[in-house]
Amino acid sequence: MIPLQMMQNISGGMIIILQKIKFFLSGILLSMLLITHVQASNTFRIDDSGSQPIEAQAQLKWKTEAPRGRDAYEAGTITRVNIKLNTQPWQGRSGRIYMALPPIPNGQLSVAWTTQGLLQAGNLVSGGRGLVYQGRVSAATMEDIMTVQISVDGRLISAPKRLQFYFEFELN
Amino acid sequence: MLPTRLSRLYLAGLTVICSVLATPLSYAWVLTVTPGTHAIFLQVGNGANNANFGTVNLVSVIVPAAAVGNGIAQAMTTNSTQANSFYDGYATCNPPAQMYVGSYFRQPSTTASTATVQITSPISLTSGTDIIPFNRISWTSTANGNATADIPAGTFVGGTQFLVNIGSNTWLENCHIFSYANSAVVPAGTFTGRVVYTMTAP
Repeated sequence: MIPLQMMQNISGGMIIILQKIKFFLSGILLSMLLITHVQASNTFRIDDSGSQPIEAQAQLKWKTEAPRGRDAYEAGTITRVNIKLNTQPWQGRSGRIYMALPPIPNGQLSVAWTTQGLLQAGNLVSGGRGLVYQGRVSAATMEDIMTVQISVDGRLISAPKRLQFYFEFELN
Repeated sequence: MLPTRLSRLYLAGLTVICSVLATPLSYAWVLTVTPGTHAIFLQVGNGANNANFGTVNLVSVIVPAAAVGNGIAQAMTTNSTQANSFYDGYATCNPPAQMYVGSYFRQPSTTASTATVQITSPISLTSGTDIIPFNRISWTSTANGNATADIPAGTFVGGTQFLVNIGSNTWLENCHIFSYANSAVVPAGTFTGRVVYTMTAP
């Protein structure tokens, strides 16, 4: 590597070229720092834009119609979702796939799901994630139907609320 | 300020990597959940769990002729058979001496709110043209396992009166025991009048 101090003695054209390289590399370096920060755990958001709930809305039902006992405030709903994950970027590689849900204000929302077999059953709470697959990704897409059960303190949901689930791939 | 060409190169470096970084945050399946239902429930006497029930119970007393108007209150009985609470199945009341009164207000909100139960009674019980003022009938309030009168005791006023507020997402219940004051001599007869309990919520 040529120390920059020596550039004084080299022709002006060479200096400009080296400066160009320096700036380009600094752009790369800065970006690599960003990569390190954002994806330090080798975790990637999966394109699940092909996924679609079978019913776009799900009404919460009180576990007990009357506010009764320890489940007085619990409400829930069950819905089904067609899951389609674009796993092409990791085809042939091994890792884990998680489903995640951002936090909701002032409380927690619990989610449990079953599947038809490709993905695995599991659960999560809002602000966290749950494992849906682990092993080698053999196909470019992974499809399944999830039956999703949601439980929440029904007092926390006083207006329609959009729950944005997403999937992450974590490389081994 | 960077020279234009150098800036371009610098940005090119950033662009190469940012295109790799550009995680499409729109990748998410979205489910809209809508709130649980609002509901109010009021049961006076016999009822059905979370359902309408057509029975109007009767509270009555037969005052012996020798005791009419002697000022000694006469305990009334009800034809209600509702002993158990729909809250937990517990034998809350002892019919026929006691009449079950229970209520809840269901609201999908953390903001505290109240529903109100009112009673409307006619001015008088009537038997033909004879009358007994409704304010001669009173009630006390209790419950097995919880003698606290959450739904308070009172006296009919011959009009509309407040009975109790029910906080959101709570259940209140008690057993009311009615009595006739028997404080005046009245003509023989069967005196009747209907009381209506009304619950309202915001």
